[in-house]
Amino acid sequence: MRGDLPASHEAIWRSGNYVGDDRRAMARVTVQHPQMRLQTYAMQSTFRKVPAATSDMNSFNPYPSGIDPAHGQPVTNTYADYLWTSPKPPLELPNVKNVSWTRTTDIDSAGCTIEFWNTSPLPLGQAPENKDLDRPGFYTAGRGQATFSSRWKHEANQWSNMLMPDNILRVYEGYGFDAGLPPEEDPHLALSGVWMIDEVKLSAAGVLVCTCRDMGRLLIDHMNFLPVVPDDFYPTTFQNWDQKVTVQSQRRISSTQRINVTPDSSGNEHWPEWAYSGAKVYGHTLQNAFDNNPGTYWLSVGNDTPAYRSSYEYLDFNANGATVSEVRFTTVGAGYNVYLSVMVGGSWLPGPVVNYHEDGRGHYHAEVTPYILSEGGLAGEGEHVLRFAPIAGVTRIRLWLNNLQDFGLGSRFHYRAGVREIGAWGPVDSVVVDSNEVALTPGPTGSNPGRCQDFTDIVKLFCGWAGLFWPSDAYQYHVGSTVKFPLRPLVPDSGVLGAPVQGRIWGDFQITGASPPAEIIASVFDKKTLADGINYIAEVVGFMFFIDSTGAVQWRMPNVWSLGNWIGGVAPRPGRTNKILVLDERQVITGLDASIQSRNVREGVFVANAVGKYAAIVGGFNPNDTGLRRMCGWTDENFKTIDEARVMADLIAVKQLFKYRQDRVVIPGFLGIEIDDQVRIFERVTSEGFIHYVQGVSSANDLVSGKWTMTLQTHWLGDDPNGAWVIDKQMLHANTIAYVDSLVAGSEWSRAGLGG
Amino acid sequence: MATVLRWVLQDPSDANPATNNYTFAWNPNQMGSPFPTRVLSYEGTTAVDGQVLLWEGTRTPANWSFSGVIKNAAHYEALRAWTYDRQGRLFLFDHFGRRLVVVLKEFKPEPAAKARIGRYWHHTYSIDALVISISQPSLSDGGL
Repeated sequence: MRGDLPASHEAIWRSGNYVGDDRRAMARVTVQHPQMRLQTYAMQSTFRKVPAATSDMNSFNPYPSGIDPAHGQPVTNTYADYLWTSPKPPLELPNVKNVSWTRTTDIDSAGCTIEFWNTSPLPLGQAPENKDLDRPGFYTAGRGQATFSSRWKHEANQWSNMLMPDNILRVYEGYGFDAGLPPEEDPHLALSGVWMIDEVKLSAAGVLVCTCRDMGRLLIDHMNFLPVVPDDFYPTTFQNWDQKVTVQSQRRISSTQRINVTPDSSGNEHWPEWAYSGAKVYGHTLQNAFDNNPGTYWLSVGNDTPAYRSSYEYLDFNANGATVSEVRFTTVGAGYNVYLSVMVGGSWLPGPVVNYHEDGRGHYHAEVTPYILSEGGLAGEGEHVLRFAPIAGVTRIRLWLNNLQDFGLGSRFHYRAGVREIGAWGPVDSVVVDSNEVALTPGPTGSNPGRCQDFTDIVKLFCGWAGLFWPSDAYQYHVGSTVKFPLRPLVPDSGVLGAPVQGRIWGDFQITGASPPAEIIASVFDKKTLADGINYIAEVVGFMFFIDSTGAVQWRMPNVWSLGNWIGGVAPRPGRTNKILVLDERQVITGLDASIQSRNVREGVFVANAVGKYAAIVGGFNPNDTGLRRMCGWTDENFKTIDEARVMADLIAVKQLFKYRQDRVVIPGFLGIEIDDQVRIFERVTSEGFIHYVQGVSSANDLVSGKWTMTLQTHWLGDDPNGAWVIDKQMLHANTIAYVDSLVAGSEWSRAGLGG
Repeated sequence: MATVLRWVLQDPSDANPATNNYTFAWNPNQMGSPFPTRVLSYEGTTAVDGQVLLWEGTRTPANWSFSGVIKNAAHYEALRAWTYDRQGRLFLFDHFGRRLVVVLKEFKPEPAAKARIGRYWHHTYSIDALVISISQPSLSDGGL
C-alpha cells in the first residue's frame, strides 16, 4: 500500500468522476540515459583466509580450517548504482499514447509496454520538409545521425539515443495533471514504475512501442561472475558466523636425553699391575660404570691419603661428537670433589687446571687437564648431576675425583674413587602443538567474503552488485547542475555493506532472523543470474522479492499472516498499517471473476531434509473433505531440525489453502494497491466478502480514450476475515506462530527517514 | 460604417508578407462548429445500484467544414492552393475575429451552373479542415 500518494488520489478514484483536466486519468513519462556508477570500497575483514601450503605439506599449519580468526585482511567490494546519479537528466516525453504494466508476485521482473506517437508537431512558423505534415520519426533514436539522414534533412535532436534499450523510463500516473510542472513535481501524480527498456519497436505508421522490465532486470541480466561479483567475493559462498575454527600453536619444550657414550679409559691404566690390583682384584672395571647396573662399579687405584695433591683419580668416556649439557653419575661413598673436563675436536676446553701434582707418588702429570666445572663435597652417593651450557661436538669427557673414600681394601692404599654409573645427557628440543576451537568475530557481510549474519544480507549484497546501490548523494532528478529532490539515506547500511560504505540498497528489507548454518556452496550461485541466487534464498526462508513502483526492492515475508498492509513508496513514515482497502461493487468494481478449485489441495504435507532424517507432516487445508488422501512434500538439506521442517510444512499447507479461491477484479486505476497488499472485496453475485491477497496488478492507461483500468489477480486469505489472523492461527504449530510473529516484529525499512 | 470581417488565411511558415496571406473574395456562407468534441466514455460498476464511471480522454481536433460560393478563377485557385500546396498548420481568421489554427484537408468545388462565358468558374465549394486550436473572438454582438 502506497503511503506517498497525492491527497486527492483515493477520493477521485472512488468518485468515479474522471472528467476534466484536474480529474482525468493521466500518465507522464520521462526517459533517462543511465550511467552505471561503480563505488569501490577498501575494507578489512574480521578474519583472514589462509590457503593450505602447497609447497611443503609437512610444514606446520596453524590454521587447518583455512581461517585465521584473529587477523583481518584487506577486502575490496564494489557496489553499483544504476538509478541515482546519471549525469544526464531525465527528459519528459510529450508523446505518450498509452501505458500498460503488470506486476505479479510470481515472476522475477515486472513488465511494461508504453506506446508513443513517433511524431512531433511542427512548430508554428516552421516550414514543413519533404511534404510531411509535422515531423514524423521525431523520437526515433537514430534520427539525424546516420550518413544518409541528410536524405530527409533530418537532424539530431534531444531525443537522439534516448528511446533505446537499457535506458530508463519513469512513469508517473494519477488523476489530473499540471502541465506547467515537471512530472516529478506534479502534485496530481505519483511514480508508478521505473522501467528499463528491453525493446523498441518502430513502425512506419508512426507509432513507437517500448517494451520494458523493472529493475529486477539488473539481477537477471547480471550473472554471478566476475566482474559483477568483486574478486574478493568470487566464487560466492555464504555461511553464518557460528562455526568455530581450529587454531593451532606450537610450543618448544627443551629436555635432556641420554647420549650414547662409550667407556674410554681411566687413570688406573697408568699404574703397574700391583698398584692396580685393588680395583682389578675385586673385579671392578671401567665398564662397570657404564653397564646400567648400580650393583657394580668402577674402582680406582688406591691412595695413601684421601686428599693429597696426588690423590686425584679420573675416568674418561667418549661422547662421539654429541651435544652435551649434563653429566650424571652415582658414586660409591660420599664427599668426593669432582672436576669435569670436556674435549671438543681433540682439544680440552680451556679452564682452570686440576691441582694435581705427582709429588713423587702419582702418574698423571701428563694427564692433567683444564676443567669447566667442579663441585666439592658431594653429599651421598647420588645421583649427582653436573649441568653446564650445552657443548656441541663433544668427543671425550673426563671426570676427576678427589677427596677419595676409604674402601678398606688392601693393607695400605685404602683411598679410592668408586663410580657406580656415569653417563652424559644432551639437550633435546621437542615441539608441542596446542589446538583450540576459536569463534569468529562477526562483521559486515560486505567486508567478510563467505560470511553473513542473516539471509537478508545475501540479498542486499546481490542487489548492490547488480546496480541497486543507493548512494548517500542520490537525487531523483536534476536539471543541469541543479539537483532536484535529493533522496538520500540518512544512515548508511554499514552493518551489512561494510563500515566505510556511504549508502544503502534501494528498498525495504525484512530481516529473516536466520542464517545458513552450513556453507551454501559456490555451485548454488556460480554463473547463474543474481536473481536465481535470490530466488534460492527466498525459497529457503519463505520470503518474497519484487521491485515496487519506485524501482525499489521489497524483500519480506509474504503479507499473509496478519491483517494489514506494509506501507511502501517513498512515504516519510513507512511501516505497517491496519488499513485494508475496500473494493466495493457499487463504487469501483467493474468486473469480477472468482474461481474455486482444488488443484492445489493436499490432505497432507511433509517436509524432510535430503536424507529424510528430519521430517514433519501436517494436515493440509481442505474446506471440502471427501476422504481423498493426497500428499505433497519438499526435501531440502537446509532443514536441520524437526521444528524447522514443521514450520515449512505449515507454510506450504497455508499456501495451498490460499489457492482454493482466487479472484480477478477489474477496477479503475489506483496506485494505492500494490502486489503483496491485502484488500477486501464485496460483490454480491459471487458471494465475495473475503479479504484477499493481491498477487498481481495489471494496469492499462489509455490516454487517447482516457480510460485507466487495473486488473487485480487475488487469492483469499481464508474464511475468517474478522479474525486477528486471516487464517485460523490455532491450526499452526507454536513454532510456526513464533516464527511468523518474529518476522513481522523484526522488520527493517531502509528507506525510513529519507534524507533530502 | 462597420463591415463584416473578411476571412483571411495566413501561413506562419511563409515570411513573405506578399504571399503569406489570402483574403477570401467572398466569405463562406456556411460553417460547422469549429470546437473539438470531448472524448468521453463510461462504464457501470457491477452492482445494479452502483455508480457510473465517467472517463475523459485527450481532446481530438475538430473535424470542421465551411462552404460558400466561388466568385472567380482566382478565388477558386486560391482555395485549391491553400488547401493542397501549403501542408503545415495555417492561421484562419474568421468573421468573429477568431484565430483558428487549422490544417485544410480537402477542397470540394462543385459547378453551380453550366459553364458559360463570364460565369465559367462559378462554383459552390466546401472545405474540410482540422481545427487544432481556436482563440477567443475579437467582436461582440454588434460585430464591433
